[in-house]
Amino acid sequence: MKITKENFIKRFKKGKEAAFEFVVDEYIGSVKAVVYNTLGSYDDLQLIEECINDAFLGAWENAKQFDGDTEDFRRWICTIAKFKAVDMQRKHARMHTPSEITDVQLESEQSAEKVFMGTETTREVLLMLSTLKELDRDIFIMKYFLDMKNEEIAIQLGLTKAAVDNRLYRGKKTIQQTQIGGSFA
Amino acid sequence: MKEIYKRFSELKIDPGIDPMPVDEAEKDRVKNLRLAKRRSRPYIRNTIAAAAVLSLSIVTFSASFPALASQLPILGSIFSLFQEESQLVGDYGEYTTAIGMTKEDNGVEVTITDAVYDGESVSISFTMESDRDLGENPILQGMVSIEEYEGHTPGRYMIEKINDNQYAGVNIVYLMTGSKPKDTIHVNWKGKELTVVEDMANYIQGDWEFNFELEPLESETVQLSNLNVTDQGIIVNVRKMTATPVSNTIYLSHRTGQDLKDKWDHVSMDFNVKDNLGNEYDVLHNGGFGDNSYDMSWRIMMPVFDTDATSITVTPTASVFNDPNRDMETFQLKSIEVPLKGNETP
Repeated sequence: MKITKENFIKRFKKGKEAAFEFVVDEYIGSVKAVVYNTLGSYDDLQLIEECINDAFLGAWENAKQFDGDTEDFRRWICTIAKFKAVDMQRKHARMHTPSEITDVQLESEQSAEKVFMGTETTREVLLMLSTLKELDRDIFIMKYFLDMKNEEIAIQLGLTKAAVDNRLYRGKKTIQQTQIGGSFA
Repeated sequence: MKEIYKRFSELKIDPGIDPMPVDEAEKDRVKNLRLAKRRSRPYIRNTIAAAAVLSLSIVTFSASFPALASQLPILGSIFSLFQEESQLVGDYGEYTTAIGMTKEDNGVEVTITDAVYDGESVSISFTMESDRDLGENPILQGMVSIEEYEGHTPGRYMIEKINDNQYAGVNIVYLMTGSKPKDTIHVNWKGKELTVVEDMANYIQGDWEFNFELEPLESETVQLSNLNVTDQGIIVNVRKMTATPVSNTIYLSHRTGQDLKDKWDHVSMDFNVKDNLGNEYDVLHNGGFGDNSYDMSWRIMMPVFDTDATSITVTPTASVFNDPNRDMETFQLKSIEVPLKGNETP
């Protein structure tokens, strides 16, 4: 059966390799753009390639989690690409020498969220997020995993920026209060 | 990790970006990937968890309470404000103690309406009324302490705006460790600072300290021994179970064998609870404590079990992972059957 725009999602979710190839052909340009946008300044081709790989593998391994049409699929795979790129950026920042870390940090706003979140590993944050309400969780996902600005998050969720600021603050509070000493030693 | 990919799908975030040119060699490189690498990376589920929400269900507002409560028709359904994620909501009104204490300072009136101590957690419901806007979710900072208890008290604070300058909230404290007071407890909530989230620089200082007594609900604790399972290098023990009129609390622990320790940096546990009639219960992970993640004690909460059930089955799921490269695995262990006291079949 020929893979087309109409049937690729179904087949991709079933783990058909032909569908994987179709997805690569169709979306690699967008994925690459997203990755470049985040990691381009590193001027490290290998890092970028690795991240593009991670994005496609992430989509492939989690295909069953996707639900939607072709346009939604583009958004999904681009979000995964952003997720992987931000993750890579974070790892990369950790590996750098102190002076370079400063450079990386200067590129983005030094918010309280970052300072707080910077001390946690992704997995710990995932665990903590489970204590939040859905909306707050979404905000944290966008903030932490996708490195979106509060304004962008506000637009995406139809909230005011102030509401996003509040919820981030309150969410952190919740996380701190629910955390138990020693659990994540 | 699965969950986040699902959420990404639901969020439908537009990247707002135009595709870049890609050459065939690059495409081929990516296409060949899936042959080389086919490892699945499961997601570690809520170890500290969606707690709190259940414990909420054990507090309710007394309709007879005068002051603010009577003016707020919405108050009776205050739980709906906080229950977005839980189906576990009942009417526990008869178990709560009306407190009805008000403290006013700096133009902010805080009233504790009701509270309940079920032997495992203290839940306090309160209202806040102010002469000015305090934003959406003002935070009353200050410790809750229990005179008769010295253990670990994590918890959760929640507040929602219900009208102009009027708020309703619930503050829950889990008594996590050690022995729990069996008699009257003296609760102290030393509210001393009000943070308006929208204007954090200008917090309001004041005295909103409350002292009140609570009688424990009748609860039954069963110490369990020899209820354990050893599977795939992990020993899980079910140590204690407390049933109250509003909830069930189970204490468990796990120990990790050397083989797993050599391979993984962290071990985390999650639990699933079913009864012998096939009912599945929502489990609220209250968190854990221990010196390191290999050997931890855990506490979980569940709603009241079906009265016809004679036993429950606890199924542990272990998640093991490493820090630097974030490799991880999740596997289910064998189940542990826990008889329910008083319900055993002869």
